[in-house]
Amino acid sequence: MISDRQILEGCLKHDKLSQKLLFEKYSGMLMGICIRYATDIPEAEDILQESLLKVYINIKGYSGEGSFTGWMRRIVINTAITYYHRNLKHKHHVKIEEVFTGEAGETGIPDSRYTADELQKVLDLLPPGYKVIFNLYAIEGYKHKEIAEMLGIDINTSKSQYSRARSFLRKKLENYK
Amino acid sequence: MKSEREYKNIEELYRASLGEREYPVPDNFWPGLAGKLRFREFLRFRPGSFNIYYLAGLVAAALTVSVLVLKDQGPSVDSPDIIISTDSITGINENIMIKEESFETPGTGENETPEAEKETGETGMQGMENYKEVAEAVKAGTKRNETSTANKIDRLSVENKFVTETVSQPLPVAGFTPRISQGCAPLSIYFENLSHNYDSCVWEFDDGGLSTDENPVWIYDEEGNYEVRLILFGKGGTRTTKSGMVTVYPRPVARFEIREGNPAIPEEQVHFYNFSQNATEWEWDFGDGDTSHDFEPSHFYEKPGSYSVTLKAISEYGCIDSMVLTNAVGNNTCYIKFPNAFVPNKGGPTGGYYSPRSDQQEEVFHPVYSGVTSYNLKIYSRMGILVFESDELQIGWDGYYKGQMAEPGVYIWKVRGTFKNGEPFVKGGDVTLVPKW
Repeated sequence: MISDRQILEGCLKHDKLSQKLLFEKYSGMLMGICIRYATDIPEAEDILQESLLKVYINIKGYSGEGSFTGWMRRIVINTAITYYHRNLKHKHHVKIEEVFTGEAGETGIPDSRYTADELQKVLDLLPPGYKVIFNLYAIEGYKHKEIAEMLGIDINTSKSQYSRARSFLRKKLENYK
Repeated sequence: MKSEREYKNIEELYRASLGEREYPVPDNFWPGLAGKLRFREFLRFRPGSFNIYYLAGLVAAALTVSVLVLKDQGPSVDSPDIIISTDSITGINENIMIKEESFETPGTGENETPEAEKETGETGMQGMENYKEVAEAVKAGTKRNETSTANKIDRLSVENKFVTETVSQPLPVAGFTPRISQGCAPLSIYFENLSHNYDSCVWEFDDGGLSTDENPVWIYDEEGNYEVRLILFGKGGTRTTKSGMVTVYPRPVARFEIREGNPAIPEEQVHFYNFSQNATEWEWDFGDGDTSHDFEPSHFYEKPGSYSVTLKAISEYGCIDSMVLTNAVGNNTCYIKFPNAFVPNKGGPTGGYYSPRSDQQEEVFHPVYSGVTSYNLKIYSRMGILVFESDELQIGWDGYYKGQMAEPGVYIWKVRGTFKNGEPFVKGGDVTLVPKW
């Protein structure tokens, strides 16, 4: 078994085998992130390719502190955000006003009724902007302040869109079965 | 929260299911990526690999630059400039049109209304206008018209103004629940407005957020103490405020990784890295029934298989976050590995049965494997004599040949078989029989 350290050292020297090993080891994990942000699979593959190129080219930038996968995740997320911004120019904004009727009781959602595929499908129903914010906040664990900076939006926009995305998902999940 | 352990909030549900989810990458992905990578690496200037191609590139670049510079020195009657200027002219025209419209619509001779509004704001009700404006800005412009007519009536009876406001109008009565609440970030609170005798309301959440909803839902995502204020506006500019307290505890983040990408289980120990934040307690579930409360535990799996590992991070306030790595250990990879030396037991033949734990002394020559369905191992001496053969994975070579300890030295092994994914394997190598002293 070749360790992360060996792969890293190889990639630093632009060794082709190490680059391929890194790809084989992590591409699935990184593609999982891309899928969550992209609007379709071809776009996810584009994001993955761009991210991996950044990883290989900038591998010197990894300080060795903290987790290596964490560093790669961050690159993928940043690339996904760049793609989202690029798409904004072509696609117009969609609002999901009609779903936001205010939720009274905060009941939890029964777990394990949903497979990962189903959850992904429901997530894909969100308009791109809401999806990005939901991903960043709920799954990646960024704070609204950080998200606002990353996306170049107002902190209250991030909060209100997140809140809408959340009730949208909740509704859709409740109606799913 | 605790009584509903089987229920998760939506964040936890999504993080657990999709946070670490892997998605297959098509087979033809790598060649395309590798090609682009070669190209980008080539483009990147590295002094260590300065070569003739870089030189050629530089010359080509210099040539194109000089050509462009020469072109630019010619007379510049650029058509793009003209297009831009026409654009800006139409832009101005539009602005003018909009301005004209805006003169016409409120043109009922009420130009002083905004000023009049300001005056009432300054006479005593400090800051009230701000809130009113916020409320109005959010609601439709129709509201503004109503207040302006109200102001008109007010101005007709200037002397009576303060009397009517403070005496004849009933004061709004403010109230809301919950008044005190606390919880883990992100804390979503549904505020219920129990007030009466009021026209409009503004909620201040003390984290920079405002709402003009009657019963807002607000999400606090950062820890801290917040003073929630409900401001009510009644008839004639009266105003009442009620406040409450919200305490938000920091949210822990559960994150971990396995130290070596794919440890061979049950042979190798599995070590975990813990990258959790804001937590003081950790609960590991290794997926085989075993648990641990260590910060960074190591675990020995008894049986081969695929295990999901869960880490629950708990903060000092009892806030919980969890992370699940599905099939984190012993997942789909198929492999078979052999050691290059072993030390037979001097006490006599053991039959070659081994288990990962019983054979800590490396007394039996046997493979470490995962996902093997069929198997045949042959071991030859250097003279080419077959000294051992086994079709059973659970039986290795104990180092004995015909009841006698085999000669110390190098032996050749050859294994063939198939993995569960259908792929056949053939491997060979040598192993040193080391005598025990």
